[in-house]
Amino acid sequence: MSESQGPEDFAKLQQLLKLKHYEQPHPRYFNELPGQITARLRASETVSGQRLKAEVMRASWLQRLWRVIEGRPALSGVVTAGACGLLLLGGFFMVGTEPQPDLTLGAVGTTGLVQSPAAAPMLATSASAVTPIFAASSNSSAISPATGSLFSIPLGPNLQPQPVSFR
Amino acid sequence: MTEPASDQTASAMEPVKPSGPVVSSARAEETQLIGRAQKGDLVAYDELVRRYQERIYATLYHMTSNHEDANDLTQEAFIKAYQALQSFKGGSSFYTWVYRIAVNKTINFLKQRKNRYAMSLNDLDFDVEKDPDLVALVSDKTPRRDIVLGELHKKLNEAMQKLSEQHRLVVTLHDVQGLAHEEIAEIMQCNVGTVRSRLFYARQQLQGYLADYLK
Repeated sequence: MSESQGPEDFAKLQQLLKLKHYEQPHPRYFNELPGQITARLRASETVSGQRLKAEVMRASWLQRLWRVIEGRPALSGVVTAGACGLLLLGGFFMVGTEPQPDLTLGAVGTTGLVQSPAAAPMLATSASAVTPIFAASSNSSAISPATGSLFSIPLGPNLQPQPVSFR
Repeated sequence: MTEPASDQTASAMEPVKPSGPVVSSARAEETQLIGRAQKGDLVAYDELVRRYQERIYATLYHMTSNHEDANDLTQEAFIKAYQALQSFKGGSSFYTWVYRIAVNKTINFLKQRKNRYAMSLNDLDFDVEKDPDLVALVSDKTPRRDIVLGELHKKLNEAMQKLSEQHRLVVTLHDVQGLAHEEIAEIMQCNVGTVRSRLFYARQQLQGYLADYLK
């Protein structure tokens, strides 16, 4: 099936279809139409602009900031990179200020409380008072409270153990 | 910005096909207008509307056979085109792009309108009685040419409305607007063979409906 099947067959029809060229709207129609379209576009822009403004006024500062950022891919990229940079910088400084273990204090030195030179002698003194709860022994059956255990912490002169009765 | 002539003649509705450097300079100017309109310049968009309004309106009018509907659809098509202008990348010509928007809008509208159709035809231009093709069609039938042409006008529109939207569109774009098959294929987003076969079928249908007037 093609158009060339009978061009003469449709000659009269095409003559008749020429009539459609003469159907015209009123003379000023095409002068007025662009103005009407532009007016509608301006009106819709004004309405959407006002709506946006009202929404922005209502929104919190965080939402406003988010609106500003989400509309601009470059800006959102910069903000994200900045946030990541700050996070990395924070992590870096944390690692940099990590205290070195003080071997003279043993386990207590790892608490990170010995950075102050003033505090060091005091802690060193108290550390000497802290003795292991259980004496180190290769024999597991021989585990028993050592002499300097938690139970034998020296008490002050006003602190004496009292017997307690639960009856 | 150029003002169109106040007296709209039949030639204004027919496509003008310039060639050579005229085309390239017109293209460049149009590209510039589109760029400005994409940045929100309504004056530039107004100029684009002026360039294509007649062709778009005529297509929609011939599709609907109703001036008010064609007017509304033309306005809506241009408004939608402006709102979607950011998505126009220049892959096709601007006028094909706007045509596609207008045609899709009209086809959707016609599908909804089916049960409330009423013709509201524009008046025929006075020059119609001077057209040799139309004179040849009616002069041997009656001395009152204007009455016969008026009747033909109505019957032709009725016959057009009996076609499906796709067939009516092909006849309108090719036989009334004078677009090439390739352009129609681009607007309708189908291949050229489909355009040709739809055109042939639509003409056959029209010929059948108007047989009494084409003897």
